[in-house]
Amino acid sequence: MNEPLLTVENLTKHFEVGRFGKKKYVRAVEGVSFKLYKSETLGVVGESGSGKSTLARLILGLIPITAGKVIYNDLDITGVSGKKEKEIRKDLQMVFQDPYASLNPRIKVGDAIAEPIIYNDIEKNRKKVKEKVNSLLELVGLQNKMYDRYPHEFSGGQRQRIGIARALSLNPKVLICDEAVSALDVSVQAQVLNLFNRLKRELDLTYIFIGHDLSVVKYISNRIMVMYLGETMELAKTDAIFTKTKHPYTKALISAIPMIDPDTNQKRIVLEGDIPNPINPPSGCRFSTRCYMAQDKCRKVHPDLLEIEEGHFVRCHYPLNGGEGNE
Amino acid sequence: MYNNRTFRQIFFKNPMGMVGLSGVIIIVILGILAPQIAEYPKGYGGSILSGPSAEFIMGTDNLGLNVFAEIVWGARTSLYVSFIAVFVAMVIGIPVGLLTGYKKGKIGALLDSIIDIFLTLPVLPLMIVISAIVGASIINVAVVIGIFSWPSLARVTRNATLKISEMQYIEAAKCLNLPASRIVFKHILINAAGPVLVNLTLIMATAVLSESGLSFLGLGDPTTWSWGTILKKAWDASAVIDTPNPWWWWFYPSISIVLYVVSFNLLGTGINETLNPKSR
Amino acid sequence: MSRYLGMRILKGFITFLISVTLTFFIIRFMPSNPVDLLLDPKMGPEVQMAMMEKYGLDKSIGEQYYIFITNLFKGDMGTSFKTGQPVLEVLMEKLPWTLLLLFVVVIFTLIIGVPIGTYAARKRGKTADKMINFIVMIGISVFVPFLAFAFLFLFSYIWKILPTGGAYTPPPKKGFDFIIDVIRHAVLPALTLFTANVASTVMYTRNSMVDVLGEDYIRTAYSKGVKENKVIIIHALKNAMIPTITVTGLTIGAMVGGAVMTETIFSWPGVGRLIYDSVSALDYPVLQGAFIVLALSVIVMNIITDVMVAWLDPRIKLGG
Repeated sequence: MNEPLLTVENLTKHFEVGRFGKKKYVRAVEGVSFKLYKSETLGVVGESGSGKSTLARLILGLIPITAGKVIYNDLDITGVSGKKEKEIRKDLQMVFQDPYASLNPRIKVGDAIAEPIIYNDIEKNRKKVKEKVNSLLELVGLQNKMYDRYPHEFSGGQRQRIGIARALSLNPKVLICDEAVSALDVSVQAQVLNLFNRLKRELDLTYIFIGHDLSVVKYISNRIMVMYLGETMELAKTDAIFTKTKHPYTKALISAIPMIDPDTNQKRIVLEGDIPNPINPPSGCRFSTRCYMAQDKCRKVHPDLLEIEEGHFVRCHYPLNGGEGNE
Repeated sequence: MYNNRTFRQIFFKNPMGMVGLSGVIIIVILGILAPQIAEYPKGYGGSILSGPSAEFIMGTDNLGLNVFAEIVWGARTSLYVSFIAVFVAMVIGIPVGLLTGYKKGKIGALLDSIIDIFLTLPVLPLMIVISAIVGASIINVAVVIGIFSWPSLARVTRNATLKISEMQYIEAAKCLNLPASRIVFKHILINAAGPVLVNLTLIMATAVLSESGLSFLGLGDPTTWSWGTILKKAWDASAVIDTPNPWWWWFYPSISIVLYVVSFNLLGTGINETLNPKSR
Repeated sequence: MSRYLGMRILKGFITFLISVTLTFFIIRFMPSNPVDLLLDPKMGPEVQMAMMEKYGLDKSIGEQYYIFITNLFKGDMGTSFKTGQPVLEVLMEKLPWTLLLLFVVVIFTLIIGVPIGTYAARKRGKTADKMINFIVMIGISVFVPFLAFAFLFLFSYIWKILPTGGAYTPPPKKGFDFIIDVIRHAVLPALTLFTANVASTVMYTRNSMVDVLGEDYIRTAYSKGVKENKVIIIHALKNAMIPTITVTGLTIGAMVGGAVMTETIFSWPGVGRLIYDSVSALDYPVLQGAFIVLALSVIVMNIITDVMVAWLDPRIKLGG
């Protein structure tokens, strides 16, 4: 492993709701910490409401942080603003989820990619800008002549490619893909995932890949972080997550992946109950209300995220596969 | 709408919109070419209160002046008023709507309440009071109308902006370091243009209703011909219930007002239906 | 609900203060000499001095405003230049006539406009709906004096069955005869205002009914076998009424403007006519007073409609 490119320490976000003195907080993200290493793809998995998308926006500074730090290239960029913010933003970009909503329907596709180039002073000469846009279009597998078309003339998969080209226009080092393939048909998903891999090699990118479908995230990630109700539950190399699963939640998620072979002896673990309200998360371990292995201690004491084996973190009092746990 | 070409394709098939557009075009032509079409009516004419004829297709008024000429020059006045009023409303209303819709928070909510208050005021009486004091001239009247029109425009703009600001492409624009001015005045505005445009046609239509009303009550500009002024003169001369009845004197100005307003309203409806297929 | 009521009344009160303040400043800051505007030119210099003192015209703007507001809440709005009567008295004479007219018009607008709008909504997209929409389009474009003239022409001039103006034919009769006489005189002005406003009610009812009828819970009711009539009346109407009532509140502001012209044309002795007369006579205290009264009526009507809507909308009713 090399040096971490991005470090996230104790990132927390509480959204305020309610008015006139009856303030309540949605604890969307709570104390998330991890390191992102150069050239890796870190997958982030969780159900909806787990806080993954909020996490992405916190890292990019699109929403203000309640607590915690974000460190990029050894620089604390938490709450940075103004010119500095703009500089850093160029390095950290996002590919959005909804191909039908992430492109302005009234702006030509080529102009949408050219705009950030112009407004970030990367290139001012119109001809050169157009050349750059065309090369980006080719890079993502589209054609030059598509410059003058409007988003509605493209399919979902093509629109995502345009979104990727746009994100790459600033020559970023880190790309956060927020459910970037979730809205696509399965066959198209595969194409776009392969595109991501190719771009990573060609442009030496580092990814944070957010998704709710474990099988997709498995395909593309070097390491996987599992989130539940705003907290990290498990973080390890992809291989370890599947073969040395330590957190009961992760195990349930894995069991839900449909297997083609009917002979596989897989029992689906069904989680009882509903996801708790993030305004009032359960005391103790947040997963305790639905955990099939929950014990008394789980409901009372909040477990810390511990590194049980090298590079393998779990937040559980009784981790599976014989790990140490916080006894 | 996806782009201007698609918009035009759909709009040109919309019957109401096309009728409205034709009406507007005719009115604009009449207004611009007024001097070529008919001589500016002033002084006295030969035959008083004579009915429609080959020479005077809309008859003459009690000073013997050509009613058709009065109508044509009145069209010009109506257009002046509409455009000045709309300009004033736009200059205030659109930026206010855009900014309060984009930067949410207390100011936006406060402004919304202020707009509410403006909308519930009885507008015509207030305009009467102001016109009575400020004095009558086309510019004054038009500016006053514009000042009373900007709140509803600001509200429409604000509502559209609020909705658009939530879209992912706006979030993407912020992520890509685009300056706020660019986001608001390009990305948001071009998407808000639809409902805003509809509201503009509405303002132009009601501007003429207001101006005619004020002129009818005697608060209009006495030095220009306006349809409302013609009606005032007719009313003062008891033209409506007079015997024999010079119906052309009060009928033609009235119908002109109606046609003007209907044209702009149809145009607005056409634009609205083109943009929202659901309302067809 | 009571909380909503409280906030709503507060908002109305603020609106009233703003309207009143607007009139105050408009009159005093306009290019013309404020003294001329408020003092009767026919008065002798000593009387003028006394008036100036009474209304504090020699004092600072802030003090003048204070005097103005306190006088207002005491009911003192000055005296008419024309008749010398206290403005409040003049207003009290005229206001009932205007309220009568508006009240009648609103009732008929709702009784006739809502069913037509509902019908158009049920037949949406079909010919009936399109025709109604077209007529509505023309309806909202109509110029009030034109309507007045047209009705006057037809009913008073050609058919000679209704009087041309006034609220009654003098000398005022007694009892039931009087009422009949007033009704006869009220027909044309009411008809004019009604025609001017019913179109927008039809349009809003139709549009909000179309929205509501398209909602899933309505389709669920259909699929459960509830007959269309019942569905409409019980489920849809209540929800569609909310925007309709709201818009009635808004159109009251417009109606008041239409009332000014209608009353002027039909010599109906209401506040609208008063505005016209006072402008012609340069009777500024009366003009100011009439405006304040109209603004107050509109504000009160709006509060009433808002509260009715709030009562219908369980989200507000139960939310406090």
